[in-house]
Amino acid sequence: MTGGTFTAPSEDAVVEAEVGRFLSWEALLLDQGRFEEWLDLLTDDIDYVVVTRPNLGAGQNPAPRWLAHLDENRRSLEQRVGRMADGTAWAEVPPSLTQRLVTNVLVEADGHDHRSARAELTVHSALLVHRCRLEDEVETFAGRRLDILRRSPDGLRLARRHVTLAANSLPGKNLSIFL
Amino acid sequence: MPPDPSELAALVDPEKGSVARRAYIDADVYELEQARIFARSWLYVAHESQLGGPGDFVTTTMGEDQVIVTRDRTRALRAFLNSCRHKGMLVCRAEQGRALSHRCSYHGWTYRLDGSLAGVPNLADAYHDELDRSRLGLTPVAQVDSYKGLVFACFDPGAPPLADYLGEMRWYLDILVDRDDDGTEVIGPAQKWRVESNWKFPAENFISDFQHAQAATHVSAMKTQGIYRPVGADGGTQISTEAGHGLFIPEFDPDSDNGRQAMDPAVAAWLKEKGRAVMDRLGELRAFRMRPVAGTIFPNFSWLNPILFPSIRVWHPRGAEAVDIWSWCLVDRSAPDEVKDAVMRGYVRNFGPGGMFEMDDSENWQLSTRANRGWMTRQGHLHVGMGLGHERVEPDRPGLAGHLISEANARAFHRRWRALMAAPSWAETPPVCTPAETVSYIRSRRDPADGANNGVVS
Repeated sequence: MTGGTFTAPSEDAVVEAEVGRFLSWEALLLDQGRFEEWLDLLTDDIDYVVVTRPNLGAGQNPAPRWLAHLDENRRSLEQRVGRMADGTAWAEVPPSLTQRLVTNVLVEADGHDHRSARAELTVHSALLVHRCRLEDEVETFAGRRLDILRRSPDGLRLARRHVTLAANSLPGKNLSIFL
Repeated sequence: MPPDPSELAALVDPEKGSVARRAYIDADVYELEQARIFARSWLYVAHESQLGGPGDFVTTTMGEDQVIVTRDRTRALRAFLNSCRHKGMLVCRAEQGRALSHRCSYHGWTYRLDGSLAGVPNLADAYHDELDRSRLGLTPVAQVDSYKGLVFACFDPGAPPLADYLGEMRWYLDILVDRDDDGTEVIGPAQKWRVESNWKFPAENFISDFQHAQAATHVSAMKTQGIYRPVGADGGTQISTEAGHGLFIPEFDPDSDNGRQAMDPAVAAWLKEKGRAVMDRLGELRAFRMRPVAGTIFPNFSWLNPILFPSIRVWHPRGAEAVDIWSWCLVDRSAPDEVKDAVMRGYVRNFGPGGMFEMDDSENWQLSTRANRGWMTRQGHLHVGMGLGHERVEPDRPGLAGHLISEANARAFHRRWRALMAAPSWAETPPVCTPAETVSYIRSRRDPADGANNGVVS
């Protein structure tokens, strides 16, 4: 993944619109609590991470491993979705009211053919999730996503998501929603 | 009129198994806690693995005091108030790093690693060489010490040394931090999140509340992972030791596969291989049969160790209705990389703010606190009488024991809280009773007529 060395966005407007539609559709599924359908948008080898953001000082040595807020694979994501089925996953009972805004979508120009049948696309976007729990508890999660989308016969699928929140301390009392 | 400390201390009633709701929301209580609990107790500040060499530092809070914790040039552990002696600006704003001095960004006052004031701009012309720098170093925290990697600090020079403060709890802490000569390290950065709860709810949850997981809060997480196997009240013990520390310990049958199927195969294999060595070091009881799931070092440091995703956390008080939670994963330094990776992932998936288990806790604590905003509600009491009078001493382990499912430890926490809140200083804090003395005391205070009314105070 090119991550911080991203230098040039693709100028293919068709692919960019297609990616934007995929991300907007994904956000709608999550906001509407259609989690089983959301799982169908993920590949079997999905790698899903929400990192922590320390305030680093000069001379900070990079650590060999980095504690995340979420570090999920297909199985753990299925467990998370599965346990919401019987109404005792208390953090989401009643469900959080969410509104996701996904913008600033850019596809990396990596020299590959993004329209080919097995293409992988590296996608940057900005995310803002407005969440309300119970009567008046409002939280805002804002950050950027670095996704890898993969073409399949059924359309684009999410193979990797890396979320970097614009926050040191998590802007919420838990992270019981998907970002 | 200023609040009477004795009156506030009496908000807890561990003899009756009751606590006034005001203790969890009253601003006067919170203020007195800052002076008599947080300004006097040993508070967790860092792990030695974060402070490898001279100049390595972390910043944190002790109560609400901003502090820098660092190793000086002699490698000694030091802690200082993170506030310039000039106008009080935070001298260091990074949460972790390495620096051989700290320079305030406001007027440039520069401090050495031992806290002394090295440089001040315009010393000769503006201060006329009249500034006595030797008296203007960063305010040191009176005591700093480490127990097997866990670094604690204490503002009160009259507090006992850390080893005495931890006391018998060290025997249990060793299960977590003394498995081999290489000790432990933390995996960070810290997960940080704020819950609008009084700090005592999570501290008490981790010292005493095994029950909530299987009774309600975490059933869903356990069933989803196929590890829901509720145990009876006597499926283990909860233990409290001097100074209000405590932990709860399910009895673990090492021959059962309890929890093993949920474990990453790499972790399971390594554990098995390591088990013999740990047994030689700690004995069979601590190495194999005790699975200390959670505990709290009074007042606000807790650890969690279910199915081997160890973690440590601090409940930073931020007002009567807020707590900042900082959590790190804890692993044996000597563990292979794939084990550390598996432990870290297992921790993140189950605990921390996004963990399948832990995400269900925050609302319990928050709304338990919030209910007491109501004036009527706040006049009442909470029930903490589970197992009252059934405390005992067990022959094979130190401390005061109760059933695994009981509130014995919460009452011990309250007894300690009350002692500190009522005492003007450490010297005037009542001496801690032995476990046997405490058992006698508790039984002597039980009113037989209370039996049917356990813990209910009108």
